[in-house]
Amino acid sequence: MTLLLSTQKLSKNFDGLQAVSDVNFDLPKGQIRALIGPNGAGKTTFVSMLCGRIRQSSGKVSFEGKDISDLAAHVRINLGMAYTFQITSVFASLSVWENVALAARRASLTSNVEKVVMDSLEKVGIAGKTAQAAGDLSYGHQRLLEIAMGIAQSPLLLILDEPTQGLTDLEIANFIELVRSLSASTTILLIEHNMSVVMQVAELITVFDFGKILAEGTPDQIRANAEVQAAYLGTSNA
Amino acid sequence: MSDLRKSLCLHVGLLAILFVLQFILPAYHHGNLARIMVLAAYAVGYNILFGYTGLLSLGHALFFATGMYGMGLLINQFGAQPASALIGGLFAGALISFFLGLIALRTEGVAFMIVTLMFAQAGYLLILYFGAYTRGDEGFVIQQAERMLWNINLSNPTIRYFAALFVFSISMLATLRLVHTPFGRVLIAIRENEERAQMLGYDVFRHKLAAVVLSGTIAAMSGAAYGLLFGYVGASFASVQYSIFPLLWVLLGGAGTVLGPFVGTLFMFYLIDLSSGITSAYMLIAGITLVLLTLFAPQGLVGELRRRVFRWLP
Repeated sequence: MTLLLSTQKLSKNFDGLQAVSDVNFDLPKGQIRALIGPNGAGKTTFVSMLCGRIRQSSGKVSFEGKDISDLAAHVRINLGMAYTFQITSVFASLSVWENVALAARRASLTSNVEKVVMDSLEKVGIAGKTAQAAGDLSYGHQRLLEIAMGIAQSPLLLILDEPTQGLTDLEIANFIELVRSLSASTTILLIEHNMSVVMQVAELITVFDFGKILAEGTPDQIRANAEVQAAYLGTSNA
Repeated sequence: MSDLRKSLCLHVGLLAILFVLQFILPAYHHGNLARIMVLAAYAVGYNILFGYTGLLSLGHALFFATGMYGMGLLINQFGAQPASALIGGLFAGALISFFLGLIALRTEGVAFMIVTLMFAQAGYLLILYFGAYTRGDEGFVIQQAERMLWNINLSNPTIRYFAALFVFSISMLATLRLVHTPFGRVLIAIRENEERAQMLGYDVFRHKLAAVVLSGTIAAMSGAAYGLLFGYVGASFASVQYSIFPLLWVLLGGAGTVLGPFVGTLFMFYLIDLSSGITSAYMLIAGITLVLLTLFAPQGLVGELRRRVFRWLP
């Protein structure tokens, strides 16, 4: 089992607030991993340090065995990461097609951009909306566009930050299918609040609480973990 | 007809009309249009940075004047030929914009505006300081005898008109091409959402720097051509006013449109020209018109047309 990504004692301090502290995290190639935890547990801060959006206060990030802690975000993306934003961040006044094309052009030197764009849009199910301005899409469809922009880069690691927020049940079912089909070629790191999605797709779950890893295990192990229940439900497990 | 076809027809059509106008226009308007075309090239350069990349510079007079003085001093001080002087001016513009970009792009928004403004002021003051060579405020004339490009007399109105058309054409066609290249699309993406562009793996700083250099070099080309064609190099072209002009032209014509800079320059030139024929308070008329336009066509003339009718305008 080769590691795609790992962190050593990764920490982030926001003016005295310890958002993430000393996290050691290993992600093997080809896995679908879910990150869960209560609001404010540090999940988004953590993945933002992985892809370079936020610089760590201390600690190390390695990707494919290489220390990438000091690399700028765009360099990390070029190494094979793709990141979809928690708060939808698309090019609102550009067309859906152009949004995905921007992602595809950077990643592929081939002249295949047209095909990659259409494939990505078809996979997420919004291929019929290519000419629309991205800002005119419904919120859920903007989420799907974000995912399309992620997979158009054919990344080694796809980081999805709350991808199913605002999707309909049907779209969620489609999303689960999509993640499973992607896992053959891509490692997926998923922040998700929808437990039924997590339990269905994740091979391994990492639970964050107060900036630390509280537990890690298969869906069944996590479901049975008393500490996790306490963190979520607020009951005492003393 | 595909959108690409339509836009090509429109832009080449404009150049054809400008070509034909050479033979029709009375002398006065003929001279005006030659000036407008050279200045429109300046606006086109400005538009690449402001309209397409989303960076508002208040210091483009520095680039315009660098081209103009680079060319002028080479002729005046070193007796260079116009062709090499032009290339010298262009090269100086590219160099200055590269270094200014390296410094100014460390800032954003208002700070970027102030940094570019201050550097342009420094350039203006340098021209005054080295008055022994630049003749300061007064400037210097490039004699008719020095304006012979390969035995072609650039002070001849017809030649001058065609030279101006040439300068404008290359800058406009370059932008038209630019917005269809992957590089140009990334600039637009940076304008729309810089963080997203970076998180798609694009080196935002390098793209912006390239935009500054491209924009500055076109401005320098326009400045060099202006000095050579109209025979005068002066410090007023380095003043704040000449940094504000391209911003106004582009805003009026339509930022982020290929035709906008020309339309804006033409409109403003004749607005001042015509209103000064009516009253000595012509700036009042110009001012009110500008306010009305900003109120009712905030995207500029061409920008409004694109929004309402011609969605395909690049």
